[in-house]
Amino acid sequence: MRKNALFTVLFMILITAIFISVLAYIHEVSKDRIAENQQIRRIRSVLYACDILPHGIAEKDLPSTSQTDDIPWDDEALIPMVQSRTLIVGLPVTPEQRRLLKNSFLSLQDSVDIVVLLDTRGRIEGYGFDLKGKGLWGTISAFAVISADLERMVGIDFTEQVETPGLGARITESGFKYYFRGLTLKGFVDSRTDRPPVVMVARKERSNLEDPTNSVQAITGATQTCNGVLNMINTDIAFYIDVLRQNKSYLETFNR
Amino acid sequence: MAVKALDIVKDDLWKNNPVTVQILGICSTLAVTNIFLNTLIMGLGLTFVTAFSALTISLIRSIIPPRVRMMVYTLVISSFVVIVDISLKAYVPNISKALGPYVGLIITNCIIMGRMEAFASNNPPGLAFLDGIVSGIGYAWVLLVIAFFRELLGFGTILGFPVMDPLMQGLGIADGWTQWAFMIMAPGGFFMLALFIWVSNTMTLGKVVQSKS
Repeated sequence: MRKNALFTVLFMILITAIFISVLAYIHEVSKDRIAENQQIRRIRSVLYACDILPHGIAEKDLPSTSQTDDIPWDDEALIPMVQSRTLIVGLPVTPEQRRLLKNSFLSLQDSVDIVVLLDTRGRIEGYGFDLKGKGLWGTISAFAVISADLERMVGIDFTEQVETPGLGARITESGFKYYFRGLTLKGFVDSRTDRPPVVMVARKERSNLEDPTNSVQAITGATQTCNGVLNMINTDIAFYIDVLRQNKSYLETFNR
Repeated sequence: MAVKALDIVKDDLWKNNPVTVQILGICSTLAVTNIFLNTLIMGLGLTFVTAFSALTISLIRSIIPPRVRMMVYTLVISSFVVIVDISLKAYVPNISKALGPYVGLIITNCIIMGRMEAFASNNPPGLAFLDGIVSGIGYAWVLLVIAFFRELLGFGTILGFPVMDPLMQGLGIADGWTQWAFMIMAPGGFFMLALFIWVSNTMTLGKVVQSKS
């Protein structure tokens, strides 16, 4: 009986060690490739939100269902492009700002990373940051860029979501994200009104690039997801605008 | 041996199909079948895991202590699932992202554990490997049929290519295809699976009744 028990224990230890060794080896040989894939995905999102598309590609000419990964990027040119046009700057978060964001992922952070978008001459063109909110089925993550005067949105890309394919998951499609380009953010600094700074409407005839408003077109049949996106934007962008305004003079030192 | 192999193929693909007869692997059947490509990758992943887990279990079946056999099955199955997960992340990251947690959940698929306990632990490696492959294909083909109709009716596409819009316009309907949102959501999965089981059971039972009479 004792012999059997000892054999069982030794067998489990040995077989576990064998399988863990095999998995560790496979992880080791593929980890660089996986990290590279994740880095490329992140850079694509940053460039897309910054409205820096490959030469000769205009977003309005893309099919409305296209995703960020469908854009014909030249992966080898992505890293030099993002390095030449962006800087990452850490900004402090005050305890008061944290208190205002009790349930947000931002409430736990002492500082936030801001991606400073530079134009081709090295002048600050906008600021980018990560957003997180709750969708119908889980967390929605996004990367958004706003203009240097903090008055309009340059673009947004939804980086993580687990919403219903064909309905809520359509937030990742170009047709939905296009309405965020040129979106007016003046509501975030105008304290005279109780209305939410950004709203969703059932139908928009013209994009915000043609006729700037504080509204985007919702997705039919995906009300909960759209509300999640809206809450995320109205909560997190208010926070970032506050942080950016407090650090305005420091940020201006990055103008080349 | 040849006769047994043929029986395994017939059983797993139709007569004792894991999805339609044993009603196993239903969670993933409902979850991933709204997009054909995701279903195809899920089917291939499950076939790989079942086949190689069965082969491994069969090879070591005579030395596995009976009291820890379930732990050993879980260890072997989860190792192959992790291999599939890492491979997808490294070589097809878009599909890995689309499948999300469902790749990891292959571990909990009852079909695999069921085949390990019922077949691989009692049969030689060649037959166990064949049983693993055919069980995986038996699961995958049912899912692919369901996914074909869900994507076609839900999105109007197959493998992302528009099918219904050109068809409708060819028939003179200028507005094209109105997407059936119901088909994309979980209730559409239940509906299609129930239809499939109904049709397959009617065909199987029809033969049983005929042979009895």
